[in-house]
Amino acid sequence: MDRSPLDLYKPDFWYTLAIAVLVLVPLKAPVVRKWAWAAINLAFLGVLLGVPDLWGPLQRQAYLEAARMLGASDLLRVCACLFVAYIVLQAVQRRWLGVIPLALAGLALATLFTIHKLPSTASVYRLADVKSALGAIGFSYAALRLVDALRLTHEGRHAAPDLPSTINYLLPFHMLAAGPIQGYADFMAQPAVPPPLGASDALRAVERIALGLFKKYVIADLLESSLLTPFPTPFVFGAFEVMLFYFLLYLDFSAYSDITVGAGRLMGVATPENFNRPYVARNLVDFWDRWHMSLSQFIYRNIFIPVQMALVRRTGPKSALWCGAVAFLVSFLLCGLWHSLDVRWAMWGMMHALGLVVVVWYRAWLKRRLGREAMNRYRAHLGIRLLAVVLTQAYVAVTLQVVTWPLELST
Amino acid sequence: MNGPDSTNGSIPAWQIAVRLVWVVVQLSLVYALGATGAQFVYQGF
Repeated sequence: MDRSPLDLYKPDFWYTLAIAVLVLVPLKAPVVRKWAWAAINLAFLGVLLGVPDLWGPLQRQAYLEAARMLGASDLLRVCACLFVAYIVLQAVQRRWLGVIPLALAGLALATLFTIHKLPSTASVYRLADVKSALGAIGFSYAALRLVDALRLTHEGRHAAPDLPSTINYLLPFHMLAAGPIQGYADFMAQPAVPPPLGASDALRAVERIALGLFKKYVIADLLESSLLTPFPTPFVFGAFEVMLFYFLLYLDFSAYSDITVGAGRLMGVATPENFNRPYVARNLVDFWDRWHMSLSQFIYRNIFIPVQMALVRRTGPKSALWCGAVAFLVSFLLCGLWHSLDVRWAMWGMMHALGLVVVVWYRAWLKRRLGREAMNRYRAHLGIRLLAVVLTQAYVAVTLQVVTWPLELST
Repeated sequence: MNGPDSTNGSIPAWQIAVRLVWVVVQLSLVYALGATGAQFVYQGF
């Protein structure tokens, strides 16, 4: 079964988007709107994962066979997981059984994540099917959304979602394939009924979708097919290809985000931006404020700040820079492993962490040495800015090569 | 965060027409040149 949530030449996504716009835009009753949105998300999951055809067995009164088919259905399993997530969130809010629901949720997420991300599980009987279903629903993104909801609910900063909101937050069909990772606070802050969709809003949304498709299927595909070679090339063209690969990844990923944000605007569903011109970033801190922003904000909220604060509390404010360095290393090691449980991605994470530590320490050193006014002049200097941008972009491109290089060697 | 924003200032008709034409041109190029079934790199993560 083909399980790609967003394929231009398969109309599932576009039909679902059209139905969602037609249904959701006129709906003004918050509860009805919430349930309708949940029904649309579940229907899309049904299209994606397949709905078991129980009609035959039921007609033959073969109830056992029907039950077996239902039990083997990925759709039913995903629905069951959503219901369990809802119950766990309710339990966390009501402090049922202390920290046991949180611990069980953590264990379940870690197990599923390992199956999903460990390359060797693809060849294990039965796990391969689970892995395929997890890939289809974009489990990595859903898992991080659930972590955010669990944390905010546990800290009492937001109420646990009701059942339709659990579905809508964890598996919204237009963010299913590749995020963004919407923060739970953002999700809860959106109005129950959005403002009416005006003509200029609709035009901008359609423009955004068209731009995304154009970036991916015309610019990125043409550049890739005409300029990117599958074999090692001499130094100058090799360096060009390193930069091109990074640029292609940006086009590809930001194109998906354009489509998602445009679709969200059309339906009146808050959808976070994921990119803000990362190619003008002047250092790695700036880069992570602009690239895959929903992931970097998740890491900042849920890993970096808690780790840094815990260390500063133990060691005192004088060692804040060292605590920050450790927090960067932990955060980006986990960020790398989130991409894949694989030594190359761990190295990629370490390279970014080291780069970030160098940026923060260099900035602190410059501030001490130059003072505020000279520092402002330094930051405003065009030549320095250009050099900083070039170095940053080159460093990011090289880190991406670490991810692909050993694979190419082995083929 | 991007919900639908409610800034619906009136846009001149010619501007709307030009923007729609550009949308149609982009989509036509996608249809003519796009690779069938090409996946997004981050898809299925």
